[in-house]
Amino acid sequence: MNWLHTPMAAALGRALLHFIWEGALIAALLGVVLAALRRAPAQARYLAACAAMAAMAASFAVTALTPGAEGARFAPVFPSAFLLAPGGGNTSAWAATPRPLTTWAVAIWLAGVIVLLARRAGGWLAARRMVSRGAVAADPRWSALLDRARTRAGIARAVTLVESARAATPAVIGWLRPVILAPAGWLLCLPPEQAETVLLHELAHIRRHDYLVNLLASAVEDVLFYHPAVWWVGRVIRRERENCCDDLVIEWGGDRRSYARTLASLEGLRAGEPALAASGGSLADRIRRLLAPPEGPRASAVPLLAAMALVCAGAVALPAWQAPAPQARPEVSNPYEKWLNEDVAYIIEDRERAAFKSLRTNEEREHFIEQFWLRRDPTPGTVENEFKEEHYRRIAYTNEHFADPTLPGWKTDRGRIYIVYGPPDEKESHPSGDRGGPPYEEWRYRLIQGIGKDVIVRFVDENRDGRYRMTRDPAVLHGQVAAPHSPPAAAPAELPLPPDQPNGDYLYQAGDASVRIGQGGATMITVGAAKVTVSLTRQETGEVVFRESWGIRSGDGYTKLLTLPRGTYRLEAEKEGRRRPGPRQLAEMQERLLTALREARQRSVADGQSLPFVTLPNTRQMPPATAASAAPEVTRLDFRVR
Amino acid sequence: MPDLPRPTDAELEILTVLWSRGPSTVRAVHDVIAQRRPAQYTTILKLMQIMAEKRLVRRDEEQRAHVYEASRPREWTQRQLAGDLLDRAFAGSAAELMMGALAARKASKKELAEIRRMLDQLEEGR
Repeated sequence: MNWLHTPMAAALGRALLHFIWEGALIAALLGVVLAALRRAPAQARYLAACAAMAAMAASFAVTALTPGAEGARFAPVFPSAFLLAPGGGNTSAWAATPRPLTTWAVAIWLAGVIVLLARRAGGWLAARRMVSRGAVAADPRWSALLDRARTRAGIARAVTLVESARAATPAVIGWLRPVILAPAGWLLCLPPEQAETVLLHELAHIRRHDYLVNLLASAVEDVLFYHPAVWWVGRVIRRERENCCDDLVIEWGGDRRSYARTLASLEGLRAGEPALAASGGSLADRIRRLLAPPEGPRASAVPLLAAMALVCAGAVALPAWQAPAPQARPEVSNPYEKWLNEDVAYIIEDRERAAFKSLRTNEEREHFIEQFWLRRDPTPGTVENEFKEEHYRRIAYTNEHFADPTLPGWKTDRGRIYIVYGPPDEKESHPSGDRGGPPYEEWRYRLIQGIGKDVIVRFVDENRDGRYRMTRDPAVLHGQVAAPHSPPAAAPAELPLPPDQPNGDYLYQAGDASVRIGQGGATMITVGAAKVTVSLTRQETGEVVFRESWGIRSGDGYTKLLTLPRGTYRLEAEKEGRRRPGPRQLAEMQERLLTALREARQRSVADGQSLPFVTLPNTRQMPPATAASAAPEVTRLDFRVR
Repeated sequence: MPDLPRPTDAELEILTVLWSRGPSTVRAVHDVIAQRRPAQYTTILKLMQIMAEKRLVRRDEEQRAHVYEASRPREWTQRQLAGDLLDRAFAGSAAELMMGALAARKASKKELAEIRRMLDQLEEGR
């Protein structure tokens, strides 16, 4: 214990004491700055909190390293110093010779720091071990997905994706050679688009060097563990860090709503018991923020800089790498993004969209746009492109006629149908409704290529506020209007669930599509299709519970977690560009379905028992593929939840 | 069901491949593992045969090339792994250091209900 009586220990004791007010002051300043930055981007608040953390570390270090006189100057302003220094008045004497209380404080603090740092080092080792043991290279298709996400995020560094048995949720480990860790088999549980947004979130952590910053901030927290202000700053950093990453995902082209849903379903997929109390970074807050983004970056740079200067005053400047990563890559600038997501949002094909997103220079993009319209020009020899002109006329028309209180015309249901299918052949407006019902419109199309004859689309203004919504989603519409060239759909089969296991999961197979229905929702797996649109409709109300479409590679799986109220449902899968699956593909499909089923079961049932597998009585053999088999085929399944 | 032995690290690696890829042949498992570290085919074969004896994996002998399948789900084994000293002692600390899309701890029931409510509102509001 001799060391505790040296001047160095005395200096530490002094620094520990002074940090009580220094830490409180810095935290108070941060509080003011955060209030000023309420409407600023999360990145500003994150930087402010990081600066505060750095300032705390710096002020502690400076106080500890400054000779005694410094301490003497500060001591009188802090009453606790008097409490701990019974000698009272003579502050320079207090600074020079440590009192017993200070000595004890230093000893206890030192013990705490050792324990906490040891724990942190153990955690670091355990995290490294997750990467090195029991982790295997990810399936090539996920690596391909990661490459795509990296292109979108503009990250050139090598990033490894591994699947691990130990990880409970996807996470980034490492700074120089970052590794994204995904729970084994986890990627099967999400549709590719959703998996991609999660990868984008992880890439955002990599791009922002969050792993390193967090390591450093954690070390500061461990050293200054006794001060609640430090815990608070740490919490702010963690919270804003996730917000920053969420913002980047959106900036990189993620859709707010679907991203929010992805996070929610990820949390649902996660193994383990829910926490008893809310944990630090609240997922609910993040989702609320995603769904209702704050009003743009309103704070101007001046108060921001002033506030930052305030926090940084007397502190070390933040290392340069902490600054927000500048736009190193020429981002898809606004006109092109607008072109993609507004102008041609409804008519561009997935393949084209992917191709456009992979372009690097504006020159390439201009060329692409030119080619895009050229491909659609009905009279390629002439100067006019009738298709393009008609398309822009439709957009202008929707904005003029269908805008409602919340959406521009082109985004409304009526706008979407109008842009895609053009003006209806007949239109009936009932602005005052029928027999006291809400106002509605019915549009009739005599023929829509690929959908059918006499298609009637109905828009209802349920709330009587001008927001007309389509009552029948096109998926249902497809099912109701038999396409002239598609084979007659099989009669929907009622599938009563076996009475002995009312809560189990059930597998159904219809043609080349398999469906799992059970507690966790429904999983649908198809093979041999190029594009699948799956929709689930509640029969009693006609409500479309969900509808999503995605490009698919052979054997891809898709799990949608839903809680379905009791009722009768119709699941429809529409496949385009199908091929007839081979026996190997069918076997692969069943295998993957079983895997997905087990994954779902494991969440509620610990023991894997034998699984009920029901083959649909009217399993249909698909007709052999022909060159002209591009017509969509609808597979239907009616089932009851009771 | 009688308890299975806790898998070793090498066995865990093989199980991870089986969970991620589904039932696979020894050749396929070896190919995946060899991507990250040098591994002998015969070593993997031997390991998997031992694992079959320990009943950590199931072997389907119907086909010419034997197909192996993990006998227990990932979550089950994950709970078992939590018995490992280093993992148990430092799981919390490790989770704080890993940068994930979700917080280190699972959301509370109340929070999950709140999230569900928000998403439901979103569906209705559209």
